[in-house]
Amino acid sequence: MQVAGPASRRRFEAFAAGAADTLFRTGCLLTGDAGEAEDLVQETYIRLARRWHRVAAMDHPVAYARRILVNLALDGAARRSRQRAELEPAAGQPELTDESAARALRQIDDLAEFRWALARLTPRERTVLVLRYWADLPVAEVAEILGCSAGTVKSTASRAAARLAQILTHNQPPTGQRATPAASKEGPP
Amino acid sequence: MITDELEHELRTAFARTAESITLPQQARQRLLQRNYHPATGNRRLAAGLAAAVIAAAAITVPLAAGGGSQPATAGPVIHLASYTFRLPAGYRLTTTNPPPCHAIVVFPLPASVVPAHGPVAQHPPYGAQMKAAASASGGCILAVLAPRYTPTAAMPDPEGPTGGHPVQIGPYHGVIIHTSAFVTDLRNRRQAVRHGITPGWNYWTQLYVRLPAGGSTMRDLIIGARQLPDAALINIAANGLST
Repeated sequence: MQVAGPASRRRFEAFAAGAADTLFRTGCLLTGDAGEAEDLVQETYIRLARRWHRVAAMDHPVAYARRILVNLALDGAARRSRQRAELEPAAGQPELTDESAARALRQIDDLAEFRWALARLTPRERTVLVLRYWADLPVAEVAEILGCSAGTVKSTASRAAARLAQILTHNQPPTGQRATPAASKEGPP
Repeated sequence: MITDELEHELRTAFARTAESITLPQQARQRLLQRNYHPATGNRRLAAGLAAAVIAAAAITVPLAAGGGSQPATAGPVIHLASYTFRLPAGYRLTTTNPPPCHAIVVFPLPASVVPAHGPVAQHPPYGAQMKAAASASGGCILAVLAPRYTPTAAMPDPEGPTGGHPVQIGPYHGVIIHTSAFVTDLRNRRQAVRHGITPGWNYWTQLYVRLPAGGSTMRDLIIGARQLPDAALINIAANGLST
């Protein structure tokens, strides 16, 4: 464990304050749950603080933080995906063309519906889409984070996009799942 | 290969969604007020201080054992709904799957864990709502807010255990119970054994606190712990429920 001086602490605190929104949003998109996202950000900060002397010298510490958060989310994802297994869309529904998929995404008028559909993907599919199309990372960087080939990232992204559109087209979220992720954390117990 | 049009729609959908997600002010404060840099100093001095703390603890623990609320120690926090439970130092947040916690989470292991008393009970599927923290020495704390229920005369608390010792946590009634289970199987035997969990009898403590949940409904806060004294468990609940 390192000894952090006052200047180093101030830099960490400034970094944490600046990165909190981005990391929280990433966590929400990856898990679909504000509480889990907050826990992920907290654990990410704990890990960053342990090696802050190295992280502070990096060109893009936020990217490094995001990488930790993604790995933490994937570590905990197996449990969540098991619990949601029964909610997966039924097999045998027709594959959508990219054109139909784009149309399904364009017609989203309720963002909670998109988040709900996103949560139905497998953790890895969801992560690929979040990193590619929200974090806007190139395929090679996503592959490096996930420890797979660029080809796998491309095929996973393609499959995930098709499934996302399929879910949006063929399924409706239950009424109770339309709450915003941020609101679900602060509500009454 | 995804078409440019589909990629554009994906980026737009993600951008709109992300924009709609805001970090709540309370969550921001919780995240940023935490001390992520526990101070460490000269090792020799630290060793001397540790010896002094141990000596002091030997005197003060018996005095405190009679009850009274201890201040929350500076460990990680578990959030359940609007409550924040600060755990003792030395714990780290974890999932419920890896050792040492998985052996005391009954519901994912219905076939491998048999309660020591009575028939096998099927626990409610709390799932992802259950939060966990573990210590390096094999301690584990699990916390969950059980689903709401409407108490009846015949069944005042469907979640609560039978037996146990009644406790009062501020204005709330609770019960604390010492539970044991016979573990017949472990997923990662070598790692579990290293944490002190072995096939055979394992013991932990559970605290159930009945909380009003609006109207005539109630819900139970359940905190289970391994290697934690009753007073510490009660202290965690009391501090979390008072915030």
